[in-house]
Amino acid sequence: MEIKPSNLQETLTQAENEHWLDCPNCGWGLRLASIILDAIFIYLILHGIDRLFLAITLHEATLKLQNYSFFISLFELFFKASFLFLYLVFSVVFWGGTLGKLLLGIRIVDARDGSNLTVSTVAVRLVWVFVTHIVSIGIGFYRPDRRAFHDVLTNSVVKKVRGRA
Amino acid sequence: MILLVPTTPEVPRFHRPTWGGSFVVALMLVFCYFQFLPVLEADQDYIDYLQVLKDEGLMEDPTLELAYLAKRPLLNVSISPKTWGLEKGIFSNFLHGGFLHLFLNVIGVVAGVRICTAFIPFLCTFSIFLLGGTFGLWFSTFINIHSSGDYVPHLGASAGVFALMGTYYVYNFRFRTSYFFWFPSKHGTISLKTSWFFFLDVILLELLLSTAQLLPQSFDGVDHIAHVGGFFAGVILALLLRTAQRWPSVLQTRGEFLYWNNFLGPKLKEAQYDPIQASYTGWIELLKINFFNDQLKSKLANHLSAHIKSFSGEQIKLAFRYFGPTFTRLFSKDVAELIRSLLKNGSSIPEDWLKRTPYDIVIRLAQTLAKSKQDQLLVLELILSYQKAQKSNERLRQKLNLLIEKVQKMQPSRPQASGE
Repeated sequence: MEIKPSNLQETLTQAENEHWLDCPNCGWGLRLASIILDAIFIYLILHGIDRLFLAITLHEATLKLQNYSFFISLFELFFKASFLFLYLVFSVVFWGGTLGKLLLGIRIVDARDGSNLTVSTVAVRLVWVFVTHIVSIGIGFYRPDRRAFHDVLTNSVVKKVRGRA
Repeated sequence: MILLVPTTPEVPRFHRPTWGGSFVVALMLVFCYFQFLPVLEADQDYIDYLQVLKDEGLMEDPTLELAYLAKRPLLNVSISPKTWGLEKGIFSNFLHGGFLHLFLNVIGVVAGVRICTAFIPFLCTFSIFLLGGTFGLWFSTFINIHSSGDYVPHLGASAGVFALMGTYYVYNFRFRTSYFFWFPSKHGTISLKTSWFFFLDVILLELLLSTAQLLPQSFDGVDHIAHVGGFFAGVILALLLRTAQRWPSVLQTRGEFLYWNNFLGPKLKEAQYDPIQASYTGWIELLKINFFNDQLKSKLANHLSAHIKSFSGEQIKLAFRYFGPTFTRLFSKDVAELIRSLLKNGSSIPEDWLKRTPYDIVIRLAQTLAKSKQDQLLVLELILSYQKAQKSNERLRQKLNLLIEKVQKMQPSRPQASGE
């Protein structure tokens, strides 16, 4: 059932979402490029966090932190998990895609109304991506609409919203 | 930096930097490496022999060990914390500890010299490489606080490479850099804002690793402190150079700066000086040279908004030719403000600009206008103008008809729709 907008901003947002649905589905070349780009960004940040905590761990004696090893490990895990959540879930929910996808002009939207996905949908989608990635991509390769298995399961679609020179 | 390689500042093809200077410096590094390879090999033999003596128990006295380390061959041509000299400091930029060290620094030098020559002449670039590199190496020896490293040679071009990165960071700070990320197709390049991304890719990790280098155990044999020192030396030298040149902050490339300095500035001064028209003329002339310069476009849009009554329809149409979809998307506030000024002044938005602007960008502009209650009527005017410009696109006109109906229901008063 279509939700009727109550003000001008909602009307315009609905028009934008409908436009995303009209955009062509993203091809596999561009999706692969976005995955590589995301992997690079994630690696840069995680590597930095890793090195920082490795330095702290190696020099616990100098920094007088011997009694806090467990908490240091916990902090490290917390920082990494927070970053991954912000990058892989938060950005998709609020901006329609990860940094790599947005830079390459693609968005992940709800296949029914073109709106951004919810936190739970993105999280479930991610789980399916990791669990089924090879099968998922294989199925998507043969589908005419190029939707991977995790897209079909979560009612999402990856759209190419901007042309690139 | 090796994963995301900065290839060029985002500039038109004829402003892109050339390779000549890069290859000159790269050849110098290669030449010096092979010329001093015997010294490097002699040093390696010397250290191996000292290690053998140590293993046999003949070098138990630390003072004796340090005395022998002070005589290692490489210290005749390069610096260490205890053996510093200006000549050796400069020369250390051209020495490398092995072929891999040389190879990685040659890649860095080729990239660094190339991207800097989009802004400054080759001699300035080379001077910054030498001065920044020497400072970085000196800084690293100065900061070194562990006596076990007193006679470890500090060498390599990487401090100089980071000095060039610092220079590039200053000159291209407000603009974008094109990166290549090893994807073998047209999708393998992206443009990213230099101010935040270049910092993240190039220097942030070095800052973290240099902090770790201060602690007793080191991770790797890389002199991160020299990299950081070189980078900040490059930043300071670039800021000094820009101040001496009086480089306007909205200009990106050397071509624009030379044109501004040698032709445009004097030409505008000669003519009867009307500051409003002079600014417009100047920015349009510069955009003809570098149509990628978003800072100029933003200034132009703001200038037009502020003095909309001073410009003719033709002048506004000419300015809009430079507001492409990417600029409008990134600077939607400025363009929305200009559209607001145009519509409130009773002028029309140039039709050819509306024709080539994508639908989602017009929606974004409408969303910006709709934030203010008094401008909500202008939203309908914008959409009507857009519909009028899309005469040949029937599908889009149908979408716009539906949108217009919905927007009209939200309006307090309803102006006539197109065709009524």
